[in-house]
Formats: sequence, structure tokens, C-alpha cells
Amino acid sequence: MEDSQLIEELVNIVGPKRIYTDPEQLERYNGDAYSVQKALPRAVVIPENTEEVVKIVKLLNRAGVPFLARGAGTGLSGGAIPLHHEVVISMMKMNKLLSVDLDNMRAVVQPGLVTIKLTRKIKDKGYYFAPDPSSEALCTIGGNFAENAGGAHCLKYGVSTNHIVAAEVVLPDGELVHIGSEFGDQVGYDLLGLLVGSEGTLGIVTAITVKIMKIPEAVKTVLAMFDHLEDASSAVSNIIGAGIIPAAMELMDQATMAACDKGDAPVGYPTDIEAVVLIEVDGLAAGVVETSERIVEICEKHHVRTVKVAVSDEERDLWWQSRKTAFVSLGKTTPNYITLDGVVPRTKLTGALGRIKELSETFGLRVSNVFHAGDGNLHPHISYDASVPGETEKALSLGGEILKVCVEAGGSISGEHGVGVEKLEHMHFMFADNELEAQIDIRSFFNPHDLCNPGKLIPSSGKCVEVKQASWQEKRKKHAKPCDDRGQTYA
Amino acid sequence: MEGLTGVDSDRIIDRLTKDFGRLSAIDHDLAAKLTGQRDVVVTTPANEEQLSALMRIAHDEKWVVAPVGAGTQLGIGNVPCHIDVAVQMTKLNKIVDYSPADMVVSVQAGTPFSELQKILGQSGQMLPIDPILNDAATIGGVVATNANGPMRVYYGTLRDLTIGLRTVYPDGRLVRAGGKVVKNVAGYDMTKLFVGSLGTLACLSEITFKLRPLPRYRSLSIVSGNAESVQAFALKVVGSNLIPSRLETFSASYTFLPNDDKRWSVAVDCDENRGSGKYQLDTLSSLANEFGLKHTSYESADVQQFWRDYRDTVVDSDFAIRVTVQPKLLVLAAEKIKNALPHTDTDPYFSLSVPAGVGRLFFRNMADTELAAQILKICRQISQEYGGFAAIETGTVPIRQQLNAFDQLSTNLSLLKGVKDTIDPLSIMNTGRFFYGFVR
Repeated sequence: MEDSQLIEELVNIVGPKRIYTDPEQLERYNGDAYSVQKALPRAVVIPENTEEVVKIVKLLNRAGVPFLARGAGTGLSGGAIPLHHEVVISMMKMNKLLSVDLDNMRAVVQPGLVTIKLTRKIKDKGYYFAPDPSSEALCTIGGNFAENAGGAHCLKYGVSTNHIVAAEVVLPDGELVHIGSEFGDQVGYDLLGLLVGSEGTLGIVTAITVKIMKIPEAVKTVLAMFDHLEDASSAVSNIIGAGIIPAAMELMDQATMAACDKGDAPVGYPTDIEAVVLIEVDGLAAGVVETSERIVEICEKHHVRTVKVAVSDEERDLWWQSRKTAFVSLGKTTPNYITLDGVVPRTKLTGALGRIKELSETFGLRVSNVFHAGDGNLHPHISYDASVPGETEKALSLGGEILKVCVEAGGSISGEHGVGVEKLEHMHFMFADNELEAQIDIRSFFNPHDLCNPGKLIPSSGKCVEVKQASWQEKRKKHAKPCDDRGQTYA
Repeated sequence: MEGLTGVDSDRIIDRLTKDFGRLSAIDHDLAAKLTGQRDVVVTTPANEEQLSALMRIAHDEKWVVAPVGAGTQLGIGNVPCHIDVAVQMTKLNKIVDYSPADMVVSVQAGTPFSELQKILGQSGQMLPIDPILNDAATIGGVVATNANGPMRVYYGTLRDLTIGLRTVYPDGRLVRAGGKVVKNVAGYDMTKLFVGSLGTLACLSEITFKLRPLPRYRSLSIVSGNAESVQAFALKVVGSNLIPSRLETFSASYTFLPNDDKRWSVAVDCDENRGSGKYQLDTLSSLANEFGLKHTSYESADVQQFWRDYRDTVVDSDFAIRVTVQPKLLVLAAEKIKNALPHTDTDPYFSLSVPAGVGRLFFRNMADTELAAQILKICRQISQEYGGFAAIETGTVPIRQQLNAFDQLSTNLSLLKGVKDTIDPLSIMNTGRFFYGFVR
């Protein structure tokens, strides 16, 4: 099918206003927050309801034209880059909260609903949606579904897959199916569990049923500053060893603290400590004080220099803001950066961090560390200057080496950002060829012509990822609309 | 429904003895429990390599295989077609990797679940599920059946707790899924497909779980009254700030329940620390008074005894139905089912995990297929009236040969069959256990 005819047929489905073909408009949909690669889509189409999505997908499938669905474009692994000149289906107009059932603790949302908005709409009734990726103010629940997004509080409450119970999905051939079960267990194979985290390669989700939870009665937040990183990691392990599951446990190194204190939420971290740990416990008011005291005790046992419990909401908010904007703050200290997302078993933290430091020195590039210490999810942040010839490649191969360290420690190449295009080659660190084939087999069943977000998530043999450079200015560009956001990196 | 007659057992034994020596034997009891067939060849691989080699032969010969643990949960699902080889996993019974500080354990599929819990308990941890199981039940069987109990309302089910697998595919390939760390989004979350797959996709060889600390303090409130009040009370608790780790509603049939009026009793557990647990007990008792309901509190060892009594009461059931109904109507639906049921020699035991929307009816000595069919029909009808559905959770071979355990499967039949065909294209894994009347 000729492009012009295709556009005409798409216009027949959504009308002329919800389709973009101008290069300038297309530019805004050329990728996501993984800034190393960009590509222009064939067209952008913006459906307003499920029926339109079905029609669009049926048309594109019939025409043999590749397509991908996207939300706000905050993804960090390049899952929304139209590398194959795809038609981009923007879900941002399907952004309604369809229903809330407080008694049954369920909400049904459209995929374009911004994550934080769900909580905002039910907060006054005492409920919230637990997954809280740092990009929650911009990212969408559809994107969280596709990436199986995590967040700071998933240590206790789990990641997106633990909170999504059912979904309406348009399969790559346009068939509309309902998977999962609003309550109890689905009958048959757990198709929903497979689709969550499939990075938009098995279908397009058009409605999502999620669990909503009661806001905990009380929260205690502890800030612990350690002279030595090793003591900080042992304290983290010992808190878990004491039978405490904090809601969150976040660790930052000195380079990150320094950057944060130059940012919008300065805490005033000492400049001569190696690590700060932010620990939060929640639950019944009658119990959290006891737990936070126990945490303080454990930190003291591990030579903490200073440890304090937040005395006000303002203090707690400041600590969290400092942590949640860490990547933005770090980004301001360097022309370009890559944020990694490796995972190591919690007990291997110290060793892995030592190896990362050595690699950083060998490559001559600065690596700062911010991570979800409770579950061993590291976010090493590599600073580089793309204007220096060869430095982008050097940063990428340093990233690869760091992920290798994570896998060798028994961990994973990604805890929450996904594979996208960024980590395609790193999948080989984790899986043997026949294991990748098993995954390709599953994709081939759902997506037989590989038209639905092709080339993402699973490497095809002999694939060479072309590295395109994005200028510092382009990366910094901030746009008013969430779907245009490229300026910030989240984790 | 009768499946194909299958391959001659002696020929299978000859073939297997050639490669493995004396690993195989003919078993009549297992055959009866599996499908009601006369005999079945049982092979017990000593390690994963042998399991893989065995599957390669089965694949070449197109033998239908049923992975089997202790054989305690074979009443789940539909009755498969003729099974040529039962692969007994009980020799793969090692804890492969346990690092308490990481709160992760990797364990071979044939390890008894009770044994695993004992070992985890020594480090103050647990796999937080409490299905009704015989002590011999293996962890592989527990995962393959997605076994769950009252604790699911707080801790979730095995789909939430299983983070990685080593599987042996029907053609003998070793295929790993997931990983050994609690957060991992590398590739498709293939692990989910195998949890609850009833052995119809592949043999599970090793399973990695995330764990939780054992509660240091336990408290339990039992509140009793009529269906309407108990339903309202349960919803009130769910909508409160309290943190129930179990919220299970029982019918009066259980003899160990306290309180005078026990038409329905709801047991609210707390796994939080002492301060929270005590507070929760007090709050629940005043809430019960507000609702005019009878109330009893237990602490520490008495709590564990209560849940043991519960298990002992229903563990020998041979017929169970699972109803899935929205939480706010579950007790009411159960009451309606209870009143509509035909008279049986023993009253059924209802057990409702209200916040999860899952209820179970356990029956003992259910030999009458027609009666079972009638009960299932009533459960399905009433569940549907309330927007839910019902399935057979366990039943004898003759009963399940007459009744489709999962009529809900028809909803996404082509997708489910597609997944099955992708992983098991020759359809040699437990054929017919999911798909009723599916003959190869």
C-alpha cells in the first residue's frame, strides 16, 4: 500500500485532525528518553477509543506496515523509537479513568492516563495506586503495563505486574481480547502476566484493571549517612535480616549527593561521606515507631555518622524530592549521560560497586550511583561528552561492561527500564540462544509478521545497532506536553 | 471421555531401560489417580540431565508425559488423555541456592513444600503461601497448580512470588525463564506462563522464589454472625487502615470455631509487629461490637493452632469447587449457594478469601457424580448471577470425566491453545488436563 493511500485510510478512521504527517510534528515522536537513538515515524495517529485502535491495527496489519504504540515517551530503553519507520499510535488521548470500585479495590483506566493522576483521583477517599516510577508525573499506566515499571516503593509492594489484574488488548492482527481476571485467578495460562512487560511487542492495551490500595495509616522516613559505602550496604542487608520490609530503601553515593545539593531540593549532605540511605517504613501508627527505632539501632550498629527520622512532612518531602530528582540533578553536571538499570543480589552490592568503580577508572568516565538498595536495583549513571569523538561508543561499552558485572553477580541487565533497543545485545549475557528462541517463538505466535513494535526486546541474530547521536541541546529541550518530554531521565 | 489407549507400557520400559537402566516401573495406583487407566510407566530421573534426556526420548516417541511430584494434587483440572509416562520429580529435591540476606531461594521441583518451609523457617523466613496441602506435596506441584490459601489476600499468589524457573521443554531443551533477583524485566516474563500451567507446557526443574520474613508476632480475631453482617464487617475491615494478612470467612461446618453464633465467621489475621498486632486486635473487637457481632481473639501459638485446625478439617476433601465473585458480594453469594445446595451426608466447608474474591467449597467422600454435577451447576449459576464464575478445584477421576472443570477456558481458547502449541507443538505434555475432551 502506498503511504498516501494508507494515510487516507487512517484519516477515514480517526478524521484529519488526529493524524500527523508533517516532519516537524513527526519529530516529536522520534523516540523516548533513551536519547542515543532517534528515528522518524511514517505517521502518528491518535485514537480516542478502543474501536479506533482495532480499526487502525487491522488496517496496518493488512497493509503489512509496522506500528508501535506509545504513551508519554518517558521510557529509558528506547522501546518507543520508530526504528523501522513505524506508524506511531499515540495513546495519550485515551486517558480516562473509566471506573473506580472502592469496595472491591479496583480501578479501570485507559492506557494514556498519567500514573500519578490515578492516585490523585482516589487519594481523598484514602486510596492509592502503588507503582511509583520516578516519572510518575508524566508517564502513563499503559507505559507502566508495557514496561512492567517499578519505583521506589516496589520493595514492599511489588512492581506493575503485581498490581494489574486484567486488561483489554488489541492483538497485532486487530483482534480484541480480554485477559486476566478482575478477581481471583484467571483460568488457563497467565496471558496477562506474559503481556505485562512485553514492551508493546505482543499487542496494544486499551483498558487496564488495576488494584488500588489503602493509603497506609502512618509513615516514618529515616535518613542515614555513612562514612563508608560498605557499612551502608551491611546496614541495608541487616534491616532486611531483622525481618523488616521497608516500603523503600534508596542509596546514593557522594557524586550524586553533591549533584542533588546543587539542584532544586538541597538537603545539605556532608561532602565527606560515601553514602546516604533513605529508608521508609509504613503501616499502622501503633507499629511504625517501633520499626523505625529498630532501623536507627541497626544503622548505629553499622557505624552510621548521622541518622535521623523525619520530624515533619516537609522534611520527608525534601528528602524524597532530592532522591527523585537525582537523575535530573546529575544530568545537569554533564553534557551527556546514560542511565543503567542493572540488578545484583542485595548481598553482592559492595562487590559490584567496587567493580563498577574499577571499570569507571579504566574507561576514564565518571560513574555515579543511585539505586534501590533494598532490591539490589542499581542505576549507575555514566557521564560523557558526545562531542568528543568516540566517547559515546566508549560510554556505551562501559555500560555493557557494568551490566556484565551485574549478570556475573547473579543479577539482571534490567530491573525496571526494560530492554527496548538499548539492551538488545546485553540479552545475550543472560540468555542462551535457545532461551531467546523460546521467547521469539512466543512473539511469533502473538505477532507473526513482527509488525507490532518490531526489533525490540529480543535480539535477532547478527543485528547491529546503529548508534546515532543526539545533541546536548536537543536532549535538554523541554516541551510543554508530556508526550514531547525528552529532557529528563527517570529511574 | 476416553483418550487414546496409548503406547504399550512394556515397550516403553524396554526403551527407557536401554538408556537409563532401571529407572522405570509400572504403577497401577498412580495410573488410577491420573486418568483411571490400568497402568502407567513411572520414571524417576535422578537429575536434570536425565530429565532432559528422558524428554528427548518421549518427544521422539511422541509419548504423552505427565510430570508428577508426590501425586497429592492430581485431582486438579480435567482428566488428561492416556498418559504414557509419568515423570516423577521426587529425586530432584535439593535446595540449590538459599541466601537469607537476599530473601531468595532456588529449589528443585521435587522438594517437599513442607520441607522447604521448615528450612526457610530456621532463618526466620517463609514462602508466604498457605494452600491446603498434604505434607508430601512438592514445590513443583505447588507451582504447577498455583496453589494458594488465605494468605493470598496480603502476600499475593505464586504468580507474584515466583521470580525464575529452569524448565525442561517437551523436546528436552533446558530453557530458563526469569532470573534470581527480585526485580527483573529482561525479556518476556515467561515464568508467568508456567505458574498454574498444570504440567501442560514443560517440566519444571528448579524454581526461584522471593521470600518474606516470618511474622515475629501473630494475632487473630474471629468475628461471627449472619451473612449480611459478616459481609459488611469484612468490607469495613478491607476499607480500613488495618493490615489483615488473612481475612477468611468460614461456614458453620467447622467444629473448632469459637463464638456462639457461627453461621458465618470471619478470621482476621495480623502479621505486623507486636504494637500493630495488639492495636489491630483492639480495633477489631470494638468494630465487632459496633456491628453487634460475636468476637474472640487469639494470640501467638493459638493463632497457629487455629490455622492448623482449618487445614486438618479440609485437607482430606476429595471434591472442591472454587467460586470467583467480587469481594463485596462473595459472602452473600456463598450464603445463596449454601441454601440452594442439595442435601449431602456431610455439610460442605466454605472458605472465602474475601478481599481476593475467591471462595472454596470443600466436600468429603463425594462419590456421586450426579450430585457433584448438580452442585457444580448451582455454583456456576449463582456465581454468574453475581458476575463471577466457578470451577472444579479438585475431584475424583470419574467426576471430572463427566464434568468440565474449567468452562471459562472457552473465552480465550485460541490464544491459550496457541501458547500450548508454541511450547508443546506435539502436545505430549499432560494433554487434556486444561482442555476438556481434548484428544490428541
